[in-house]
This record gives sequence, structure tokens and C-alpha cells, in this order.
Amino acid sequence: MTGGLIGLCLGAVVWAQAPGLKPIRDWTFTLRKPGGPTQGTFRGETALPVADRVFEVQGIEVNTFRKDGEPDLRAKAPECRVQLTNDAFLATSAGRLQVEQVDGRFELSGEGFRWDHGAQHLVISNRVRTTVLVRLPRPRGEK
Amino acid sequence: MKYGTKMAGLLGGILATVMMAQDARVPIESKSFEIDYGVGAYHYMGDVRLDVPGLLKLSCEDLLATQAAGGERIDTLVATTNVVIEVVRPGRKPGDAPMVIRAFGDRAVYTATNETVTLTGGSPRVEAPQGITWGDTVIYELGRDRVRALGNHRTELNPDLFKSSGLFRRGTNAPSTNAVPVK
Repeated sequence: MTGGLIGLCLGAVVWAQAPGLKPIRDWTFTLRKPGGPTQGTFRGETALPVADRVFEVQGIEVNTFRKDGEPDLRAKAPECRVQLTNDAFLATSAGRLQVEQVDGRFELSGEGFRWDHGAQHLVISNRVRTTVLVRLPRPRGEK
Repeated sequence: MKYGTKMAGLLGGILATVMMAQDARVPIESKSFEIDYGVGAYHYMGDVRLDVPGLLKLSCEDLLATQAAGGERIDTLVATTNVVIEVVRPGRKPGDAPMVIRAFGDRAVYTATNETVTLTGGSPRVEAPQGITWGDTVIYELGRDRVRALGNHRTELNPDLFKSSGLFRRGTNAPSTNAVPVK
């Protein structure tokens, strides 16, 4: 996941916007290494450019993918600030974050977060609740 | 990230040793949470509570789950500060009530490879229906349902264990001080 440049394939509308303009509706971008599989897709109901490659996003949904291309995590937040870097992204918010593994084995929620994808680091600051689905062997004789 | 899969593997190992239960949803609550998915460290901080009703409870101030370097599985859980672990095990015989076993300490380390919980600090002890075991280090082998203590070991057995054994109801050579015969 680390190393090498990651291409940020932003929607044409987004890329054309300069900071300080009106909010962009249906903001999207895709995160992938050049020639590699998609690592993540991002969609926001609106995104307000506040600085170069920095957006205040409302109603964001993030989907991440494993190295084999299979979907991995789905994250939702009512609002967050997204800073795009050369090789990843940094998302921060004082608001709520919900994350679930698409196979249903893991759910995570809390309030106030800092997700530094480049450093592979996620911190949630308050009221964290995770749920892990554990599948155990069936007792003998039971099918 | 595959955090859920890794954590499910570790918790599944614990629950499988506790009781042959079926699928379980394991909630873990804490004030804050930090994942370093580059190195595989998962850190719950502040008033940490894990509760699988009827099977397993854990409370502590700090819980760190880590995977071995280069490994794909989370294989170690370290709980610190006011650690209380409650495990419910099936009765020894069919029809027996489940047994509740509680472990206390300031630090508890669960290692998946040998399915043991090592308790240290804060008067570490394991309380079971059979009795209480203290030691400088108390090792609870979940897989074998066995408790060992190292250093300053002390065990108090529950007197009920001897109710039907007759061990303490034998006659002695001491002169009888009352008229109640020992049978």
C-alpha cells in the first residue's frame, strides 16, 4: 500500500475547480497506483474547495479495495475535510464516522477521526464501538 | 485493512476454547481507538469493554491487539489497568450449571499460539467455583482450563469441594470431646 505514486483520478468537474469556489455537487475521485488496481473510491454529496487539493466534503462515502481488487471497507461520514496528497489522502472530522467491512465481519463507529491513508493510520477519538462477527466451528453432530 | 477478519480470527480462537458456541457478534466499546494498519496494531483506549453475553466479558483501560511481524493474524492481546476477565464455561457434566471464572490483574496478556492468559500486577488472581489462586504471575490456560501461579503462590479452595469427599470426616485418635460419633 505504501511507496510509489498513487494516481488520484478526480472527476473532471472537480479537477477544474479552483479553491474558494462554490460547493461541487456529486464530488467523486478514485485512488489508484499507476497501472495498479483501484485502492479506493470517494463520493461526496457536496465538496467545497478550501485550499489547493483540500475539500470540505458533506455526505462522504469511501469504498476501499483489497490488492486483489475485491471490495474491503465502506466508510461513511456526514462531513469531513479531505486533503489529497501525492500518494494518498488525509481525512479529518470532529463528526461521526461509520466503517464496515463489506463481508459483514466488522463494524466500527465513533466521533472525531483522523484517517491518514498514507501513514496507514486511523484514529477515532470518542465513543468508539466496534463489532466483530466471529464464526465458530459448529458443535459435533450439528450441521 | 482486513481488520475484522484478523480480529475475528483471534476472538474466535478465544471463544472456541471457552465454549463450542456458534457465530457471535463481539462488541468492543472504548473512548478512543487507533489502527496502525501498516504494522498491524489495533489500540482501544479508555474504559474498554468487550461483552459476549453468556460467554466472555473483558473490561480494562487499555487494550492492544497486535500481529507478529510479517504475520497475517492478530496473535496477541494486551489488556492493562484494572483488568477483569469473566469467562463462562460449560459445567463439567451434562446438565451442570455453567461455571463462571473471573481473572483479575493490572496486566493481562493473551497469546493465541498457546491459548493462555498471563496476569501480573494488582494482586493477580483467578477466581473459580473451586477456589481462588493468587501469585506474582498467574497463568490461565484457556485451552486446558488450568490455572498456574508463579511466585508467592496461594490457593484457597472452596470448602464445598469436600462436602462429599469424607476427607475431613475421618475419625482420629484424639479423645472425643462430645458425644457425636463420626461415621
